[in-house]
Amino acid sequence: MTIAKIERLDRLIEASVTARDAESGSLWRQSLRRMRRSPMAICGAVIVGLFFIVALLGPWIAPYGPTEQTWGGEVFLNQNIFPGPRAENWFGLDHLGRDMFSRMVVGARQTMLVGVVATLIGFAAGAVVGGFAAAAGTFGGRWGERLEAVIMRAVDVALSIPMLLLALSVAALLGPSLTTVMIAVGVAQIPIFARMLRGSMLAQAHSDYVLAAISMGVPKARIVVSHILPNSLGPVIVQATLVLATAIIEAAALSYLGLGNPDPGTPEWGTMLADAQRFLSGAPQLAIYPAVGIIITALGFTLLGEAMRESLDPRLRRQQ
Amino acid sequence: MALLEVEDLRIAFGSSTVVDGVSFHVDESQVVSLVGESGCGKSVTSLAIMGLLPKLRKSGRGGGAAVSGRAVFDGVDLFGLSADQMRRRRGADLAMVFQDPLSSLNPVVPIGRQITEVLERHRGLRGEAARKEAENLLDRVGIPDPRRRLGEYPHQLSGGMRQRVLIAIAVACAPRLLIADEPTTALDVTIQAQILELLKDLVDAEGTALLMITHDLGVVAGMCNVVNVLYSGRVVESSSASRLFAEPTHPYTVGLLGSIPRLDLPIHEPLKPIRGSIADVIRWGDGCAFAPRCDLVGAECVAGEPMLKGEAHAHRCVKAEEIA
Amino acid sequence: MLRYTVKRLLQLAVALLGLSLLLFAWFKALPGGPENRMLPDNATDQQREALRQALGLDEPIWSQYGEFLSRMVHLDFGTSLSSGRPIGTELAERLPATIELSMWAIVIAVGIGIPLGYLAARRRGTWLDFGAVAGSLVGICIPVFFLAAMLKVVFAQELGWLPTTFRLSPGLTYTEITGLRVLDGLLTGEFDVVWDAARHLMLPAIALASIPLAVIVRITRASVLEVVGEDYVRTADAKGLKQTTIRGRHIMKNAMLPIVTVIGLLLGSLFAGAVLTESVFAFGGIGSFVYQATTERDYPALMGFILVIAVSYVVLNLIVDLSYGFLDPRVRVRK
Repeated sequence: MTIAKIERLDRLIEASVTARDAESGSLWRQSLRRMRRSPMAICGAVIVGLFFIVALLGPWIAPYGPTEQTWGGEVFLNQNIFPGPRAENWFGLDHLGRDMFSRMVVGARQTMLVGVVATLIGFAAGAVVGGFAAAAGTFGGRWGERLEAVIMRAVDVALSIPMLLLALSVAALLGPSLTTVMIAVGVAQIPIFARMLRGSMLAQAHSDYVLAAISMGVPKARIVVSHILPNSLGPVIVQATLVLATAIIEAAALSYLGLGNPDPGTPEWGTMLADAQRFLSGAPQLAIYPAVGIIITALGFTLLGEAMRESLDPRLRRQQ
Repeated sequence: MALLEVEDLRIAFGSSTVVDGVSFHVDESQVVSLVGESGCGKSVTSLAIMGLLPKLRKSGRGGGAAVSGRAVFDGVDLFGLSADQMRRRRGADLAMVFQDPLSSLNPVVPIGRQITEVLERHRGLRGEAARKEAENLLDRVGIPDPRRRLGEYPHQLSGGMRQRVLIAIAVACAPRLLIADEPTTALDVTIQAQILELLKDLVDAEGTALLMITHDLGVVAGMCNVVNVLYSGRVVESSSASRLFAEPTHPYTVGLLGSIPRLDLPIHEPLKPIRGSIADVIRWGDGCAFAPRCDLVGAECVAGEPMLKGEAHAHRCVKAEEIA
Repeated sequence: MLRYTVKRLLQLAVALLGLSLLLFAWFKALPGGPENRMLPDNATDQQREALRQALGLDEPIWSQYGEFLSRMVHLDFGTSLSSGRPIGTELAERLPATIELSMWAIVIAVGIGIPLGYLAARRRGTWLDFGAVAGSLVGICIPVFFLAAMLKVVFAQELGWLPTTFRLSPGLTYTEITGLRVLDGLLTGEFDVVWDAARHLMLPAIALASIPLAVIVRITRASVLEVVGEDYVRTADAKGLKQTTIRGRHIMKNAMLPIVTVIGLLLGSLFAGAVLTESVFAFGGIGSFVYQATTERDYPALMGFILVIAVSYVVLNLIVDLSYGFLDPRVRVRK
């Protein structure tokens, strides 16, 4: 066999082997690569990115103060006629003569705050409850199993209470304010996060690598904290992204029910949308701006969350 | 004339060609096998004959299969039939038994219904007549107490029972060709023999032709007349079963035979597995796809496309004479 | 099946008991406590004490809970602070309107959602699929009350095609049987009532259906996609069955399992949506009552509402679970 021929054979084999290796890589890197190709993920990321930029830089972008009344004699409150978009007020003025564009831009921050804080509350409390239940059930012996059963029953009952009702009850306890909305929406998410983390942890707990760790005598607490928990977080983080969208929408609903932010100094999209309901037939734009803001932001988080879920789902991955 | 004549079958998913010009034929009442490792294209071939591959969309997207070549069944090219015409033949003229009996049965429909629906569709049997016939079928495939079993669900049966039900469904309309795709792979070893025995009895009794798809030469030895060995989407050796076992020609076939435990060899003789995996492939156009794994590889093996040579005992190896 | 049902019923009882505990704790924790809400701000401590005794607030906590429980069981929620009428009566009068609205919303969501989701799955990657997925993503992101208000402004106020408020046009005589007006109209043969009630229902039902519809389209699509890839569907195809048979018996019968579960879970958001939708259309159901109760901090009324909704939600989910048992033989036999 000549050298050239052997080289050719080697090259052919090498080419096919490297082609295969390019497809592998770690789970997270793989899903990141897939997400970069998914239009859904790109749209979601762009929307979410823009939203965060506006929310953080809002006060510097806004041409007017959010409570500054720039009207002259042009707003006729009694007839519900407000100036629409024009050069000095891009989105027009609201019923108190305040610049809508500035209020939208500044309001983004409060909306973000409501969404993020509510999600964090739900995530943190849900993770504690669900994680504790799963750890107790897996490693706590017979009593641990019973404890897990009791906790999860309670979570099921809480899950069976419609989210808005839960939020309503919390809001009723705490009185109307932005904090109420955050806590109310956050508390309503606890059962979902608890269930998700527990399910995800149980799936990990029955996997072979955990069995291997147990057989090597790794302490149980250590297995839970450094093996099971990090590996179970993927689906929960995805859920958090989706919950952010829900939180923003739910917050608007609570505002509409009069449980939202009573402080006119800090605009928030949900409150703006709720306030604008009164002027809907005469000046629908007052409602449409915050509504579109809410819808697009929620859509951005939903797209991002769904794209993440798809890229992490091993079953969907196999189909590709 | 052959009952089924497959000519130059090519199947591609997107840019990857899975079956690359396969030809073989099945005569009336003959038992023919397609043998090879998973990934060699044997299952895809059977699905193509049955018209069960996902169709290619006009847009070219969506993961459909591009199928070319001919599959002439009883004088008619199956690939030329409309979806509806094919639907009327499937289950009636050609039927198929699948690999995994649990996932191949509908979990929420009683097995009786899953049998009678095919009787209804192709033989026009309804009501009590269909039930009676389903009972007969279950009895024929060796399921005790068939009347009671009709009302049960797949998860209530054992693996072997489920495979018997699948076979009952396949032979319900007395097809002329039965395709069995790894019918025993998912079963226990003891059950495997029973199921093979059952298949053999059924095709013998009815004179049905059987196309057996398997990776197990042990299965082939027991029941097949003709063997086609597939590697990387092409037939590499084709002959009658007796000659193939007596004088295997292609190194791949030799390797397959070498990796089966045999009673007639010395006890301490180690098995000889084929090194590498089917993924270590070069394109057929550049040379023999098996070359990267072949012990006898030489320069001529990668000097262009090897051709299928020989009539009754055909092989695709340029060094065949050397081996013999 | 019987054991399964009994087991589920026992779980239901435990869930309801837990719920009553939660509600009791909630009620006790309300700001100021009930006695402060029932007395003027300048009441003396003596007056307070007298009222506490009258309300049984000085008794041990467990006997207060017992009292609370027995009142709940007798549907005695006290008097509404905003309307001054017994809350039980108020809820009972308003319940049919909410049930009728929710029913139509679910009918719309299921009737459109399942076929659309199925088509999207079967034509995966086409414009229809893309449209269905995009539409459902946007659908879950629209605040219900905003959608309801926009529908009202556009179709009722501007175009004038449909009525803006209430369940029936004023002056229409109506014989009540079930309280579901379309159904009653059909039963009594008052077809003008049927037509009028349907016109009033149209916009609120569409608004209320938006989120369930979006969710059902998505879950149906995902479920059908999963089932279509199953081996038994290939088996059914290999049998040469008609496409209608494959669709009904082999695809949809299996795909329905997750869809039914999700419909059960949707009922919660449906009630919540009803509160918002009804208030927009002054529909006169429980929703409008709660909107009022919430904005006026009418806690006893709110509690009555939460209890009624929670109970009906738990019961409906029990029905969903049981139907799951009927749909899936594996659940049925295992229990």
